[in-house]
Amino acid sequence: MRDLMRLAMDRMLDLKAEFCDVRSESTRDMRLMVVDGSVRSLEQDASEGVCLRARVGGAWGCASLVSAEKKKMLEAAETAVRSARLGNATGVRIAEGRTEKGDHRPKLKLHPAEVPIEEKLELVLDLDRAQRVNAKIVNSNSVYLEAIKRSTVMNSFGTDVSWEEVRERVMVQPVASDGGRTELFYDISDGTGGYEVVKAVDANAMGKEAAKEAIKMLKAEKCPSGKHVCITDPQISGLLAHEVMGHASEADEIVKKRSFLTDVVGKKVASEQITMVDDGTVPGAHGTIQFDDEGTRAQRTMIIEGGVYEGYMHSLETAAEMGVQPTGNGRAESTSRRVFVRMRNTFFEKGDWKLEEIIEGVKFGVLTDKAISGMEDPVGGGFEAKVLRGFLIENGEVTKMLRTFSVTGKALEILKTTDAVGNKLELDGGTCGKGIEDFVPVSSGGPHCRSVAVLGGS
Amino acid sequence: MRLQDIAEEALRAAKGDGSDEAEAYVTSARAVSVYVDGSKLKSVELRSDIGISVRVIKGLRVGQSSRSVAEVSDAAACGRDAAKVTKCVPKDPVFMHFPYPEKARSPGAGNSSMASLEPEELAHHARDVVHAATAGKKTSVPKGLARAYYVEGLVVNSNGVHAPRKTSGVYMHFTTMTLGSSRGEGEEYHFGTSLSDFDAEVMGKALKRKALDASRAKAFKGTMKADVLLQPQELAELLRGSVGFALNAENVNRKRSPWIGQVGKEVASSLLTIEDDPSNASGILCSPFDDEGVPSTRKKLLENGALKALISDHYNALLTETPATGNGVRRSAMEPMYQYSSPVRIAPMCAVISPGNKRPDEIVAEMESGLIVQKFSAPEVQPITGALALEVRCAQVVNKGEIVGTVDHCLLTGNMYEALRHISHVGSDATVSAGMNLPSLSVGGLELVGSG
Repeated sequence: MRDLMRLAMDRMLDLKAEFCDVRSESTRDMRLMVVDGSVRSLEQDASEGVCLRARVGGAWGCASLVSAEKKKMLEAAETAVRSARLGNATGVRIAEGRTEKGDHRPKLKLHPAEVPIEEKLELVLDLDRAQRVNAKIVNSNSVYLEAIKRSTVMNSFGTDVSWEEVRERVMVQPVASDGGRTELFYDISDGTGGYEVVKAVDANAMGKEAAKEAIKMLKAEKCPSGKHVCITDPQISGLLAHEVMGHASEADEIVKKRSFLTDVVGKKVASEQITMVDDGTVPGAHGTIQFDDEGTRAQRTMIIEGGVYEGYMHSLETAAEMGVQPTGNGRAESTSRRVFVRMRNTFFEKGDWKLEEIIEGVKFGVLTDKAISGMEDPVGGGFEAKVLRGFLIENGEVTKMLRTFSVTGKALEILKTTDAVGNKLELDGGTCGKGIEDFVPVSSGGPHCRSVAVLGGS
Repeated sequence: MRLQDIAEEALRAAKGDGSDEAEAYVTSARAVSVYVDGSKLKSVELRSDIGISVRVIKGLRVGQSSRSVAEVSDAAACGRDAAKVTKCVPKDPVFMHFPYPEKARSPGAGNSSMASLEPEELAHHARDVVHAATAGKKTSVPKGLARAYYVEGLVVNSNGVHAPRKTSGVYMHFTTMTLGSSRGEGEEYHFGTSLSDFDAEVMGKALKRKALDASRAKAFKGTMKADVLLQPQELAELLRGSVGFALNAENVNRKRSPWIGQVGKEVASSLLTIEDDPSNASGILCSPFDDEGVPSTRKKLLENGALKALISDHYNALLTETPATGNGVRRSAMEPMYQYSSPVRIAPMCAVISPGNKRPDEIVAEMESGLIVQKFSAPEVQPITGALALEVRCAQVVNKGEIVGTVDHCLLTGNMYEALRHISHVGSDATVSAGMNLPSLSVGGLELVGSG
């Protein structure tokens, strides 16, 4: 395969590609789902793919295929260069930088490929059984996911590097009903690493606790509407970091001046309690990578330090455009998708407040608890987080549970009101799309943060 | 490689490993994508893939495996993998057999000219969108995607099912942005089965107008109860997350749908009629069979607000001992690649909402106090409860039939299932979205919450 990849790269260079790379991927995925105590599905997938990419005058051409047959690879190389010539984007040449070599394997205690399916299935059945705490749980859902990906990237500067990424995840989602109302709750445990990531989960406790919380939500009340003090929990703090500040700090948005954070390096953009990073090296986190999909080694990238904006996340191309070093953020969903600037683990750093202290200072406000989803807004800098539930705070005490609501506002205005940052950092794994596709594994998070935002629910 | 040869090889291998029944689902996809960045054609791509998914039943145990296919022997390996998995899973008394052969009842919508589309042609359309959207130099196109694809699929099973499909799709998603200090962003989508019905100039002009509208938006203060005109693209997502969830037989059988026991009963305004029409020529997902080899059928889902039918896949039909409705799908309107590895889910082939007889501007003219939503941050509904609290990125405020301002940075809150009971008008502006054909709807019962 390596010889064929080299041959294809040579063909692209012969055809006058200014820069080119070839990426091959081999994935082994497993998804096990138990619903209401029965195995609903056990799916395994083994897919291979190759992507050839050529850059001519600031535009890219890409071709991807399954077969690694010589004739097809060479045809794909020609297609990539011909396609690049159809583009009319201009740009500076990608600068030759550090090249990477070798075959890098993660340190796993228990490679999932060596764990019998029966053991994985037993774990998911345990998770599901545990959710059946009483008759109010009308539906239990439990899932195990494993993703093993081996990648090789070669480029025209001499990089020839291979690595493996392994991710594990279990989740539970009980649905409770009292005959009138129906509510759900969920819990997830995941990370990069071997089967040890999920083996450490106490299945009984995870399933049971989620079910009890689903039942409690049947009595949750409507969230107050309007502008209020809002203590965001680590998941919602993470959505603010990721969706608004993170996406707007992706340098491809900066190069085309689409981001509201264009030209803010060195400026104060948040309260001095706010420090934010995108770090591809956090051990075990869901968005941790050894290399990005251009073969650049992952690193920790400082975005905001003490409220002052520090810098952007880069691919090879945006780094060249802005005259800086790439940061290892060039990622793609698969060989069928383009590489562009994407996040890894994006979070606010912890402060020194205990959660009780943060709550004590609130006369009337809301504490969020768990995310449903969020959406980026690089142009307007707007923040929207859909929250699974929350708690009302009155005179420094938590008084009531609140059902699903949303938090919104302009991100920079919210961050300027942040007056308390918690002392416990948590990361939440998931997948991130840019726009509405191109999903890559990431995590986001932060500590509890106290700010002012607009709230609304029904 | 012929899909038939790949499927047969997999079935042979699965049966050779002692499976009682086996099913092969093979897809071959070719997709051209053109990405626009900063008003320029940034990346032009030609992708292809081919792969297979095999399901087997062996002593009431079900196994499944999928893989990409570089050579026919990969199909055999996939069949053996699926058979091997059955040793690990408990018996499933529901999944007793795969579908039996039935005759197709509807034609497909795939356009074979898309099988050989050259990147140059798509690049030309993308360039035309940019040209129209940036005319007058007040706006740019920071990002855009034009994608056109052709997918051949085949479902074959050991009961004699042989269900080929040919689907084609065009998916366009562009954004515009105003230049200068007052930033506004516009967004447009287009879905179709061929490029012949795509008008780049119409899309470009709409993009420009939306960006300019958004640039005039002011943050909404206070709260307001109003009729809301939901336009087709945003409405499609809201309906997928509510109606699409509620009439899905799996969700009803698992007791998480709000429409349990509601067949025959009123669940929405009498103005709402929805049918699933797999023969709809604009239906990007339409084909004579679903992805389990069951014929797709035309049927009323809601009629004058009454729930007429649920939609199901083969498994849920077996579970409830009812006929499968031909709605077990693995295909996608936006993503042609890796369809072979997608799990079966339940979805309409083409949900068509019967249009009304008033244009959106005529509906607006009748509004006492209202809102026309151009863009939500993400039009998502909590499907179990119907709760929604959506950030409005751009909306126009209507007072006594006149547009009096544009707002943003506020939340539209309420409940989608309740809103569907308070439809005041159905528009005549039927538009194609992914897997849907629908007009604008004007609904009540929602509240706008602002920052002041």
